[in-house]
Amino acid sequence: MLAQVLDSAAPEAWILVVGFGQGVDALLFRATAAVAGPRTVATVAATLAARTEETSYTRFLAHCGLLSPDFGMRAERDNRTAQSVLWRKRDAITAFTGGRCRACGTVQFPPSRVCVNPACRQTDTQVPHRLADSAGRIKTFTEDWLAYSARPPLIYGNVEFSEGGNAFIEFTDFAPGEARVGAAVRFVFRLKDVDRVRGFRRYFWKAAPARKH
Amino acid sequence: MASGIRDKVVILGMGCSRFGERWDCGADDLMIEAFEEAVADAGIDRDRLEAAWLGVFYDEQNVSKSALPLAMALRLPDIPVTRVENLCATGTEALRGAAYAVAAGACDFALAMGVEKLKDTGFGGLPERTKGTFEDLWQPGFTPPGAFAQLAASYAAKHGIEMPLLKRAMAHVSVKSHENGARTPRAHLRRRITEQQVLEAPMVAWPLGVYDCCGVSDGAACAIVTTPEKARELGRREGVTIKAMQLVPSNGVELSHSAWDGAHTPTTRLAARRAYAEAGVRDPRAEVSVMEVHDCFSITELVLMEDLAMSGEGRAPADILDGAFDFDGRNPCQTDGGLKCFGHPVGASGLRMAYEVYAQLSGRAGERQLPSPSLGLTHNLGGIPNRNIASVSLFGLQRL
Repeated sequence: MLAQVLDSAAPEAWILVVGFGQGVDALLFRATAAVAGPRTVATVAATLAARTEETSYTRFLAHCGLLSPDFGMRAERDNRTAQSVLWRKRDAITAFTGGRCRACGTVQFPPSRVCVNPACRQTDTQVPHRLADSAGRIKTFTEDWLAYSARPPLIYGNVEFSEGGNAFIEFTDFAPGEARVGAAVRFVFRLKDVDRVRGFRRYFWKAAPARKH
Repeated sequence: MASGIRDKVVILGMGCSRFGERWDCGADDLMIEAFEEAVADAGIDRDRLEAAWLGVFYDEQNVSKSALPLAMALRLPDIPVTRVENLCATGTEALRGAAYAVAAGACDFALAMGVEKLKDTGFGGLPERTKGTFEDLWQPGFTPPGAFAQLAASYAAKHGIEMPLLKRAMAHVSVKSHENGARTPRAHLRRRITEQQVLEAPMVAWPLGVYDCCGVSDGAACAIVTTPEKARELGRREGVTIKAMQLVPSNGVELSHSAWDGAHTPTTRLAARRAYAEAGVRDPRAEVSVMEVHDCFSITELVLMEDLAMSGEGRAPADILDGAFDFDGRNPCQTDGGLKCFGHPVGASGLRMAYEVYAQLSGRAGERQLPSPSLGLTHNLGGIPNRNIASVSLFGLQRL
């Protein structure tokens, strides 16, 4: 809601965010001139406009938790949550921050202590490198009908960043038959999976078709 | 480079259980089935074993961790036992441990056992496994067929090969393995199939259909190894020796660096190069008489033919369709049906491959015996193409 208001807020506007339920939280913000500046990320309206519509009523009910389809044994896996790992790796997971080696310039994901470039392999030379706004290219992919997905097939693959480096990630907003080796992708922050036992939702970045947004 | 273990270790005996859906027995029964055959083949008292290695991959599904499952099932005589695990190279790791111990002079007789009991939990395909706490936060919820299918998409794009042609070559890989599996009494899947059946099968992970995927089985295989001196003392004048064992794990280049094209396995290429050097093999295509490679999926075997230098770059589909790796081809591959048909109990697979090569070199392969093979190759690819463990081993028939 706050993000949606910020999409259209004028500089100097006051914004009150109130959460109610077993008590009340109130947060008061004042927009700065930066809200009128150029946007680097998609607006809420643009994200909604770029949606893929679900036209199956059965699947809609399943998504809403009103039907419990048998997703098979692969859906039974315990998506164990380790909050300390998410905290430790928060820049990589939530901001899609990779590493760029100061010694050789190699961009890599995930960032690591030792540079992945076989010709470099220096330790503690990487500085944070934001990949969320990078352009990507599909190196390999598959449409997997065996993997668990609430909306099969699960489409995923190896994606190469325009500045170099590779990541093995899930795709989203691709229809079956749409992905191609070499196709351009952009990166979007989406729900990855849910730890139903502990009630925790995991988010990460996915490769989406590089359409206008 | 060190001199390696070429001809320093002799395989004295081997055993292999029947692979399949072995509802009738547990991992202990499978190990005993393989072990009794190996002891009889070796012709030694089992109490002469001085050390053992146990390969088990899925400790969650199978016999749990540690040396205990082997030591207790066989009631081993208070000897050291080491449990090893290295994904699909696990069985080969058990053999490497035993072979290195013998080559080093630490013991004269060592046992390598690999076992996996996968079918009890009712899972189709390989069960889900943990990838640790970090990778689950970002890597896809992939399956093995989906991870290996990636090779097909990039291979076709790299070499400009139309997918229907690549699919035909992949189908030939599976048809060939089913043909060989049909002649292998202990194999899991023993029916012949046609190219049309493969091409029309339901899709598992594009472009891999059901018949592009190997079987997943229960099974055990083992080897008893010794020195050439001890083998001679036991009256052996000729034996199967280990010519080379090389293992290369990914260090992250495929997963994170742009150098990888997604269409080959650099680890296999490196392991093969080192193994050929250790064994003194100059021209693999001319010298290797039988191969058992990690054909978890048809596209894997296709790509491996180039990684093992059996085909030139981009030539594997044509060589496969020409029958170069058929039973009567230039370099027969998967003469026992491979993972595709003999089956894939993960921890046992490396030793099952060695068992087939050993049987072929010893002239005991029955209906599927090749005419006078002299050099055999086994290969494992653990993990998935962008993060794997490759092993290449060579075995030869040697005058002792």
